[in-house]
Amino acid sequence: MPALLRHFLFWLVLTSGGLLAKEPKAFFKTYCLRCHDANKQKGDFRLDTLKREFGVETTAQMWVEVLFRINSGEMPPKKEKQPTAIELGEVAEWISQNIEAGRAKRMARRRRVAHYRLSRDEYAHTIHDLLGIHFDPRIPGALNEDPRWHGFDRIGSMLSLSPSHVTRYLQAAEKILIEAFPQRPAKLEKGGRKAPEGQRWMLFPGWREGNFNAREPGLYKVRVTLSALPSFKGRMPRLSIWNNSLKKGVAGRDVFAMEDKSITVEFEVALAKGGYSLINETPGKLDDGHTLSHTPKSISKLQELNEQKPVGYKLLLDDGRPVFPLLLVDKVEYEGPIVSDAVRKKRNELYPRNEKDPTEARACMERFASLAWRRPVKPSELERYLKLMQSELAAGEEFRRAYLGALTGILSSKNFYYLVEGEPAKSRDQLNDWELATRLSYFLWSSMPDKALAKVASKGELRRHEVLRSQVRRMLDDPKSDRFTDAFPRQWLQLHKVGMFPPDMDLYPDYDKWLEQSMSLESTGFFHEVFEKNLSLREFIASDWTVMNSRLALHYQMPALKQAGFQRVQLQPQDHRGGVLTQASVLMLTSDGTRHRPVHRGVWVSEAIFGRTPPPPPPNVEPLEPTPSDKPKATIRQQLEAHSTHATCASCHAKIDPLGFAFDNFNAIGQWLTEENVPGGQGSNPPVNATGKLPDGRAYAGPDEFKQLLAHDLDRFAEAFVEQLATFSLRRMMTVDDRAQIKAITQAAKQDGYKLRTVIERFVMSDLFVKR
Amino acid sequence: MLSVRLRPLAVALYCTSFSFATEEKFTTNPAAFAPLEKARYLSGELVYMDPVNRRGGIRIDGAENGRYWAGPVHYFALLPYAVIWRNGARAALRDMPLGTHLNGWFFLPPNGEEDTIPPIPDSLGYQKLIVPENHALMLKDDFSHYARHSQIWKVKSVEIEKEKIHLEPSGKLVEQGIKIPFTFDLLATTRVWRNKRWVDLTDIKPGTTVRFNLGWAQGGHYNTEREFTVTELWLDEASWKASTELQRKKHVRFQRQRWTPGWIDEVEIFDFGGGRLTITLFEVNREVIEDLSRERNDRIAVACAEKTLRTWYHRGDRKFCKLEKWTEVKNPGAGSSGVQITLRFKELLKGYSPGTCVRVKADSWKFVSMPPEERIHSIEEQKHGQKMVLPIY
Repeated sequence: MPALLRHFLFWLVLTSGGLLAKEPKAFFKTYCLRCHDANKQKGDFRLDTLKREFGVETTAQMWVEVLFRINSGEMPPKKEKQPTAIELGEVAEWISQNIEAGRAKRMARRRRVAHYRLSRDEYAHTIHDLLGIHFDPRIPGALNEDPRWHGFDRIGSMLSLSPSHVTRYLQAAEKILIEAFPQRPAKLEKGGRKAPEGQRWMLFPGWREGNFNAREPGLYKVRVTLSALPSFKGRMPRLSIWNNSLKKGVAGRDVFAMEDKSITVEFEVALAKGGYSLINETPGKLDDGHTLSHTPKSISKLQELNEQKPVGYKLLLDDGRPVFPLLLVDKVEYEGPIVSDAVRKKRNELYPRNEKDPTEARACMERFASLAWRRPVKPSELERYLKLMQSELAAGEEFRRAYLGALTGILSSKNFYYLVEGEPAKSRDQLNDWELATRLSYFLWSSMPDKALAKVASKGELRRHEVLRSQVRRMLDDPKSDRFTDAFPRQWLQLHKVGMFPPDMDLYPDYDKWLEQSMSLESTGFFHEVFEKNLSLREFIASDWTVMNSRLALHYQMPALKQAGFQRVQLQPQDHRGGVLTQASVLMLTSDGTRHRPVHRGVWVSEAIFGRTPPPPPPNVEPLEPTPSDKPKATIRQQLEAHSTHATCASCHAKIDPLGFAFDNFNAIGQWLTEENVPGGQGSNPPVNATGKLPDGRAYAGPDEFKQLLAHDLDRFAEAFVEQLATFSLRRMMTVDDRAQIKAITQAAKQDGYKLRTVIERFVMSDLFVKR
Repeated sequence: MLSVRLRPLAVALYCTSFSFATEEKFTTNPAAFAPLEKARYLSGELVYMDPVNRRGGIRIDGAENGRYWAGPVHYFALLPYAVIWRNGARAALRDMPLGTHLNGWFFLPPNGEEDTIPPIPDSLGYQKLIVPENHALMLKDDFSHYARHSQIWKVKSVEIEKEKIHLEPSGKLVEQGIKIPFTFDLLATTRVWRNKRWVDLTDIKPGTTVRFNLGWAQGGHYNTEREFTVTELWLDEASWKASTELQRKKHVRFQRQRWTPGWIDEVEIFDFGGGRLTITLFEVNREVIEDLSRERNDRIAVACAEKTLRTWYHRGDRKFCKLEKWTEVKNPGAGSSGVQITLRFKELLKGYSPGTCVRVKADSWKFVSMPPEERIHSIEEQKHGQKMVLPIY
């Protein structure tokens, strides 16, 4: 009976759409008020008068304290009557939900003017669309990393501004503008390197050749002629362009070409000034200098390796197949920096042709500010920057420097790096056209509106339904929507956590950086495919296909792929994949590098799939200890079940754990297993138990059945998905006040089978999107 | 000395230096330990040595068919797992003084290695005397040979003025070698040991249990019986044990410098770097094996070696690894230690292939740089070292 009740409570939470549980007044009366009411205030604390306004931070803090005391077992005191586990669970749930709702309310609060700072990725995309400059915000010293809330890095209330931000914005603006408007236009340079006559550079893992220099920053085309041989296990070589000073690859791809059929691969990549080389970025870096000195770096034929010294690296099997993925490079050619006609035209409109014509300078500056600030600029606003330029000119500075100084000011203005909604003079709940255009473009393109969108905004037409719909469809079809299909799944699924806990290399020696990147790229590629094909949201839960590369095929122990790069792959039941839940990225980000973490997985499913955050764990929870050497080996599940003896722990774990146990067949890096590898302990490794029951009693045996059960309840997931979309695009948490609109959007999208583009379109057309 | 009448009996009791354990010719497998009982026994005096490449030559005992007069030197290569015994302890070929009389067990060349010993010049036209079994599994001096088989020698009498000593065997007699009473030369140059000291010939007393090593005897005739000189004679247990202990220490030191040899049974290759080798260690001193078994620091080093057990620059041309598994079989065949180790590497050398030889270092041993004549420096040198270079006599 208690178990059923627990399941019922759990299901209530999941199915209530987050409706807050009823206040457990009886609990407070039975267990708390005797010592904390009007008659008695032990510890100077009264619970009966403690306000229920969780949106007020001081009140919420008091409730956090109450929850802490209950969770830690301090309250009620041991000598007093003790509540049951279910009662404890109920009260912890009620307090946690209200604290969370109060926090969301505070963070979502909108004043007359709301400021939402650009994330650093949005900053970079905006700079690209404004000036055609590829600015990498992630290089050391560029822009600060943005704080995240549940994976989202664009939540307005989280993105504060510090003096460090301002300094870096200023430095970035100067650098960007000098590159966009150089004193002398950068000359297109062509060059290249060839392997020695009759030879081919042999790039084994980690080895670099083909040095070249980018004299000016900008967009470059790099062409590499090569053969690319997979390893004997089918692992593809990965050709990357290596930044010699940053010591990292700046662009790369899997390549495949037979030894006697070389191909030419072209990269179009933004390069900073400096030296670059080609690298084989597959795992297994060979870096013992002594052994390298005996290993050939160029050969004419692979067979020659058989004749080499035995004290060099082993690169071929006895049957002649490569041990590692190998690149045999004939030559590398480059040209750049390339400035397209469109970019040149764009820049020409922003820099006066006649430096001595103040009218033209003003017009150019106004165009620049209007584009950068994503709205028309008032003359008074522009005046500051004109004066700045004029004062520089008066001090004898040359025009270019004076003009760029003013533009630097515009790019360092809060009007650029803040998205501003509302106005100080009056309160309004509707976005104006410019605000709507900006919200829309940052939602779908992570960047400023383009000319077409700005045009309808300037005409005041964007709020018309048919115009908005047509713009949404146009924008979804634009290649810039790739930014959405990359950024949104990364933030929704919290992919930034992939690799956060580097796996123990003794346990997972096969793990490497490219696998780590491939994991995330599977998830974003999967989302992109659903988006491109306009498939149902159901695919995110369960699908018979995925998007993967050869590295993942190897990792998933699936047949080797015949082509290089990411591709759609049909799955078989025995693969146990499909949907996002069983993607290696998700399975890894919910692990700790050593072990899989069923509880973390349960929390992740609750947040990402059901849109609900479970209560935090009580303080001082004892960690799971490794299995003692004199005890039989036990799975993590068995240890957890033994661990959940504390009443409060048990009540919460009963809600979370079934969502995580379903994935116990996957280890900490997402590989399928039927026996859990337990270090220490006695006996053989125990078999995995991935069975369980949903709160309504429906049983599942393993992840495949679990996913099917979730897929049957798509409405709930769709609501959570829309909530995630809204959080991403409106740059704030959703509150109870938003729930009705989210439900309405979901129901409208259901008519079309929850197709992704339909969901997005319905969302954009909703009041939730067009209102502040 | 045997009388003429007794000589036929001596031939019967004195197992000839040519002997087969079985009639069939046994060919060794390059990647398997050859069974000692299938070997051909030969004995003779060590007359040539290439200690770096572990090769040499013996003048086979006996004078039949003109062997002493015109028979070519029997050049041999040591199998990689070959074992040498000197003074009752394991030894390297270089420890054996030229002129030492050896007991050896030989095989035909392993398949594919027929060219290791090139055709022997036949200027005297005695090609028929060439023995094709030229790959040695085991070489022992007489001290070691008889001691290992518990054959005891006692002094019957000594004739210093005639430079002769008469010895009698007892105990468990050897199958191959001298197992009848025998008269040897005893020269003023013979080193005699008692109580761990060098003593005079006059200290040799009848009835004493002795151990000895033999060498060439000047009275050897073209068509007569063999003659041997006792080059070294031990008159008591303390003395021979001291010699054994000295040789043991010397060889343990040698192995720790050159590293303990073995060959690769299996290679498992990871395409993400590294792999796993399973190696069977050749027969070496037990303390050397025990050094390895104590390893806990993932610092076992493995260097590639040739079949001659010669390495390149072993202190640099090696990879470190982690000991994953240790298995041991009892009573392994000659040449094998019975120890098989599984090692996990982060990087693999090209030379790590099944069947190839390696040398394995325990972390506790000092790294030693070998002098250039012991190292291989190039592919050309490597190929050159795969065939024996014969002297021209």
